Amino acid sequence: MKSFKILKAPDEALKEILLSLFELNKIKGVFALSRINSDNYGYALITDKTLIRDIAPTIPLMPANAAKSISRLTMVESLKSPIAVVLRPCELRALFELVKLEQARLDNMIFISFTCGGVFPTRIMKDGLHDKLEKYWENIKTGENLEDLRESCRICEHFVPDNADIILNLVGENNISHETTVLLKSEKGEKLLTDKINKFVEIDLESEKLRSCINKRTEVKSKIYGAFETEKFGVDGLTRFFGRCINCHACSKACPVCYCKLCFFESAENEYNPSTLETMLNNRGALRLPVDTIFYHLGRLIHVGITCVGCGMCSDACPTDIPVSRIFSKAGERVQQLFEYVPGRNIDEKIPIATFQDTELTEVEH
Amino acid sequence: MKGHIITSTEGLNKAVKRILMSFIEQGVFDAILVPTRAPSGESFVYLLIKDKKFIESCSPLPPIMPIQGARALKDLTRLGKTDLRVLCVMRACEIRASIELSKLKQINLENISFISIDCPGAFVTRDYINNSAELDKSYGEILNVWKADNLRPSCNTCVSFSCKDLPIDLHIGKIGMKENEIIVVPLSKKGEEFLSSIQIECAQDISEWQTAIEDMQQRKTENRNKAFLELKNKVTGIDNLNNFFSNCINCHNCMRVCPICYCRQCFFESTDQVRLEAENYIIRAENKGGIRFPTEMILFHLGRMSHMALSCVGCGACEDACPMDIPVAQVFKFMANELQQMFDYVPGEKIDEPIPILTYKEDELREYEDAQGSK
Repeated sequence: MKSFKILKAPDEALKEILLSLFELNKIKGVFALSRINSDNYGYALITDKTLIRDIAPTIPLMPANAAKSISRLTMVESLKSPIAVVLRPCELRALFELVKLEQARLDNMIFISFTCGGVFPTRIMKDGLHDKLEKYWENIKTGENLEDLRESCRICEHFVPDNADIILNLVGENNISHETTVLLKSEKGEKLLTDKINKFVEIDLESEKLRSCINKRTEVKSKIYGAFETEKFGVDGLTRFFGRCINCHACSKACPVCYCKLCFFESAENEYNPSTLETMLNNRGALRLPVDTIFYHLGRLIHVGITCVGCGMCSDACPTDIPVSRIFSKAGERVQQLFEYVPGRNIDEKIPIATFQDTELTEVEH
Repeated sequence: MKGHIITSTEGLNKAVKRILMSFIEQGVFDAILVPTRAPSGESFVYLLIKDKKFIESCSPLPPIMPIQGARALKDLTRLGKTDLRVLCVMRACEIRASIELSKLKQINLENISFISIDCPGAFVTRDYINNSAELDKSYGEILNVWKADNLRPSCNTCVSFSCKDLPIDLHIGKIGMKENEIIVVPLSKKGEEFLSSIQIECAQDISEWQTAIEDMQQRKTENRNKAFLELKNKVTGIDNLNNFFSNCINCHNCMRVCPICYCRQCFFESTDQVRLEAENYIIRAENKGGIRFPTEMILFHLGRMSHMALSCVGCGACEDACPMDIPVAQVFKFMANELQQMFDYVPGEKIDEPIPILTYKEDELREYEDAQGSK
C-alpha cells in the first residue's frame, strides 16, 4: 500500500489533506465529527473550507454512529458532487450494511478512516474529556487497552478499516503527537493524492504491533464473554439482565442498523386489548406494565444480530446503564460465525437473511 | 375533611401494603397497579397485581420513578376500558399525567381509581442503580425529615407533591406526621366507601397534616421561583438554547419516556422529516458553511415543547432518561409554567376540563399576535 507521512498530529494532518482536496476541487464538502463548542462534539457536513478548522475526527468520542447520519443524507438520492466522509471503522461497516439494506448510497463519497483506539462513553463529555486525552494518546502508541473506554471498544477486533480510500494509522505509532502515517488503500485514494505527494513508501498495514493489539483485545473479549454466561441465561437470566429496562427504546434509536422507521414494538400491531391483558394477568397472577420488555429485546436481537457491528451505541444510550451491547455483540458474533458473515466487510456480500434457502441449516432444526 | 391515622412501626410501605391487601381480600378492587422491585433488585417496575401473594413484594412509594406510571396505565387501557376494577398506586405527577392522557384519549379511566401518597421526590434513577443500598437507607430518613439535597431537581421544585386539587378517591398522608404514623384520607364519597369496605372509618382530625402540606407548598414554590429565575438567562434566545442542548445525541429518549408525548410516530421520525433529498442538506450546508448532523436538533425540542407544554406535569421523566444528563425537564417545566398560567390551566386538575388547545378560538389571544412581541 502506498503511504506517506505528514509531520503533524492526526487531526491536523487530516485537515491538511482535506484542504488540499478542496483546493484541487476534488471535494465539495466534508462530513466529520467536529467541535461544537468548548466541551462538545457532534457531526457536521461542512462545505466552507474555512470551517475545516473545527473538525476533530479522532477525538475519542462517538456521540452517534455516523452511519445513521449518512443514511439520512443519501436515503433518497446519491450525492451529486463528491464529499469526503471521515468515519471510524465501525461506522463505516455499519454504513456498508445500511447500503445493503437500501438505506444509504455510496456514490460520490470518499471514505477516510483510521486504525481506531476506541472511544470513551459519550457521557464523559459532561465530566471533562480533556483530562483523559493525554493518557488516551499515550496508550494508543502501545495499543494498551484503557479500562474506562467503552466496553465495545475494549473488545473490538475490527479496528483496522477494511474499506476506506484513505487510512491514517494511529494505533501503535510512537510519534503520533507530531507525525501521521497516511495510507492510500484504494485506487480512488491513490488517484486523489498522487498529484499532490511525490514521495511514497510502500508499507503493509498488517504490522506485528497491530496484530498484538488485536490479540490483546481478543483476550479481553474472551474474558468478558466468558464471564457473561448467556448460555445459562434462560428467561430468568434475561429478566434479571433487562430488569431495569424502562422501555425507552433508546437502544433501537441509537443503533445504526436498526433502521425501521416505525418499530413493530411501537406500532398498532403490538397493542393489546384490555381483555387480552386480563387473560395474561389471570394466568400469571401479576403482569409487568408496559408489557413485552424482554420480547422487544429478543425481537431486536433477531433483527439486527447478523448485521451488528458491535459499535456499542446501544449501551452508550441506555439511561439505566444496561450493558446491552454485550449481549448483542456476543449473540451477534455467534450468528455471524454460523453464516461466515462479517458485517461491513464487503459491499457485494449479501446479508444472509436475504439469501437464505429453506434447505439450509437443517442441522439446527431440532 | 377527616382522616384515619394508622400507627405502625414497620414504615410507610408496609402500612400501605396492608391496606392494598385488604382491598384485594375484600374484593373492593380486582387488581392493583403498583411499583414493585425489579427481579434484578436495583430498580422498580410497574406490576398489575391480581394474586395477593404478589402484594407482599410491592413497593408503593419507591425511591425512584424509572417508568412514569401513566405510561403503564396507558399500556393497559389505550384500546379501551378494562373490565377489571383497578386501583393505581401512584405519585401525584403520575396521576396528573394519567388524567391528561385520558383527555387525549390515550387512557380510559372507567373502572380505574387512584390512591396517591405524599411524595418527597425521587432520586435520579441512574444514581440509585449504582448505589441502591445506600440510597434505600437515605430515602427512609427523607420520609421522616422530609428534606434532602440529593433528589431530582424537578422534584425539588415540585409544588404538586400531595393530593391538593387531585380529582381522585384516596390519599395517604405522611408529611408532618409522627415517624410511625401515616394518615389515610378519602378525597371523595367513593373513597369513603372504599375505606369503609375494609373497615377503615375516618373520624380523625387532619389539620396538622394539612398545615404541614401548606408549609411545604410554600417552601417548594420559593425553590421553584428561584430556579426559574436562574434558568431564564440560560435558555433565552437561540444561542443559549443551542448551548443548552449542545450535547444532545438525538436519541429522542425524552420524548419516548414523556407520559404526555403520546404520538405513535413522532413527526421528527416520520417520512416527511427523514426522507429528504441529499441536495436539500447540501444547500443548507452551503448557506451556512456547514450544518450539524443529525439536523433539526433544536427544532425537535421546540416542536416537542409546543406540542406537550400545556399538559406537562413536570414529572422529570425526560431528564431522568437523558443519557447525556441534559436538564431537559427544567426548561420544559419553566416554559410549561408560563404557558399554563397564560391559559389559566392546571394539567391533571379537573377530569372534564378540556386542554386549551382543544377549545382555542381564533379571536383569542390577540395580544400575542404581533410576532415581534412589541406591545
